[in-house]
Amino acid sequence: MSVAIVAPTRREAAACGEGTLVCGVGAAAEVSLAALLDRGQVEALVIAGVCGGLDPSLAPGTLILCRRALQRGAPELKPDQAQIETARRRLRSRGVPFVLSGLLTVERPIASRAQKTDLWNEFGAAGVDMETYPLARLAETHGVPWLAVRAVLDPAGAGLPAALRNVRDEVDERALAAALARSPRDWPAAARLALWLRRALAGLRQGVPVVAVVASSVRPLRGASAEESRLIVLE
Amino acid sequence: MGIPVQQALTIGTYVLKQRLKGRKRFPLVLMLEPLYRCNLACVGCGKIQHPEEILSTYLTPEQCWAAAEECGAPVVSIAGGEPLVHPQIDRIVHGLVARGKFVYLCTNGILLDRWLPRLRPSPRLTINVHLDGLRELHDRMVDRPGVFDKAVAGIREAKRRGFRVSTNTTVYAESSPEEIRQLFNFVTDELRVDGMMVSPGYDYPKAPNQNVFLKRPQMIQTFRQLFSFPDRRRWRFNQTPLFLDFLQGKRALQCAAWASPTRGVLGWQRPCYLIGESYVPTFKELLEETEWERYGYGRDARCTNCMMHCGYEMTAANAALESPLDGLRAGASTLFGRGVA
Repeated sequence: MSVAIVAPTRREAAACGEGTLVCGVGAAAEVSLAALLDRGQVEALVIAGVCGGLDPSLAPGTLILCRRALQRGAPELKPDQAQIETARRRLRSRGVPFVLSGLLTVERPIASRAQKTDLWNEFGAAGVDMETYPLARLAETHGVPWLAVRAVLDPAGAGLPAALRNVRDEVDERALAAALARSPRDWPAAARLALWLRRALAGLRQGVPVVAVVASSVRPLRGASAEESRLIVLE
Repeated sequence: MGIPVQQALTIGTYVLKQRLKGRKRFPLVLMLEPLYRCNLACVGCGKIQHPEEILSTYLTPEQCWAAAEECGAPVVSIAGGEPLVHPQIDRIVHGLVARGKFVYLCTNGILLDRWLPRLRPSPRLTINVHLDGLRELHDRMVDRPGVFDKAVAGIREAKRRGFRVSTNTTVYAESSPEEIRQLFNFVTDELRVDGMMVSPGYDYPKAPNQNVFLKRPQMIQTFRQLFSFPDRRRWRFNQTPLFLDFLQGKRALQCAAWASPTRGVLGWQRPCYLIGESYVPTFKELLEETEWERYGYGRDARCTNCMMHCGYEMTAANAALESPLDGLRAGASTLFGRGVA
């Protein structure tokens, strides 16, 4: 069973486990996944990474197992419900902190608490990211079953440091450090974000392999258990 | 004053203690339903659609007291059904007050004249009368003429006898912000109640009229309009300012259904006051074995249009403890009864 795990950045991909594909941030992700799916080797897709929290009860590091992918003005997409139920049970039995909810995809990072509140009221999605919806749509177009799991980075009650508000691509960490160095006002927020990032990546390390195994069990190879199914490297 | 200082202090101390003990989930208000039978059939109510043998079953006073002790919540809200239909409601109330609980006796007011002489005023007892609008709107929502006048007479008599009285208003699609404004002014200026509660109606699938419910965006819009009237500064609420912000879409809160466990004639209701998915025999089982993460806005479709105080007040109270500014607002609201800035 060929399962592709994709994450937007190298750092997220590393946390998701060996073999995870770096698909890029925002619109770039769609392009790279399209190329991958066109090769016809992927039989199941796991979309992983960090996200902004919209559900105010979620702490950094909590996983959101996507039960519906949302984008403004587009019909919602739902992954296979039987797989979702299996993933939910396995995450729960392993004591991984998670919720089953929606993921909203937007074009740019949601920086302020007020914006997050408005999106929460409007969509009821627990998290917001920049890739899940178009990637799920691509998977459906190619007839590939998909699951998505995201770890909360910045919780609903927090904004983002100014230096990160216009991120549209892989963060150049040196440039980011330089930008932060010039903006002492952002230091406390940046320090908090660094701490939250550690928690979010730890959440991905815990949860993504569980979800990937479930994804690999959609149509297991003859004679092989789901656990024995191979997660292929797609880089 | 919206909430008596003694009650606010007791609840604040209780919540703080629970948090210091590291408890993630704990009860704040026991929703006690000693019976499901009611003397009304309101258009938006989904609580009373049970077979006759269940409607004829009442919890005994001893069962009610045991539920309060088992749960340990400092506040008990007696609902139903109509609690004043219960032949021993006075004993139930006195027993709960004697156990140090703050009791909200929720009623439609029709039978207040019969029971007031048998109840004793106490700072721990609040008679909470259901009023969804002024005469025309209220009588339409409860589907019986004359109920508004009975309820108002009951409120006046309760106040005359020295009871703490509050009102509970459910906002439906048929209630315009202007009508609710008039109701709140009437209740504040003429009835001079001790506090008001308000929340949008929950879209019970079993309610007789499904067209009366607001969707979440409409709820937010309605409450924004309602709380934009200058009169709001006079209104005294038994609710936290954060919850009122939440109703206007200004604050994001997630439901804390575990904070308001419901004990009815069928047992402890899972998961919440509004959704009866199943019933369990003990409170411990309810608290520890319910998969709480599965419920709430964004997680369960049945919660999409729920903004009820029984789910969100606890979250608001918790948030007030976490933020000094919100804590100050909650304190000011308690002392001066003003919830809406």
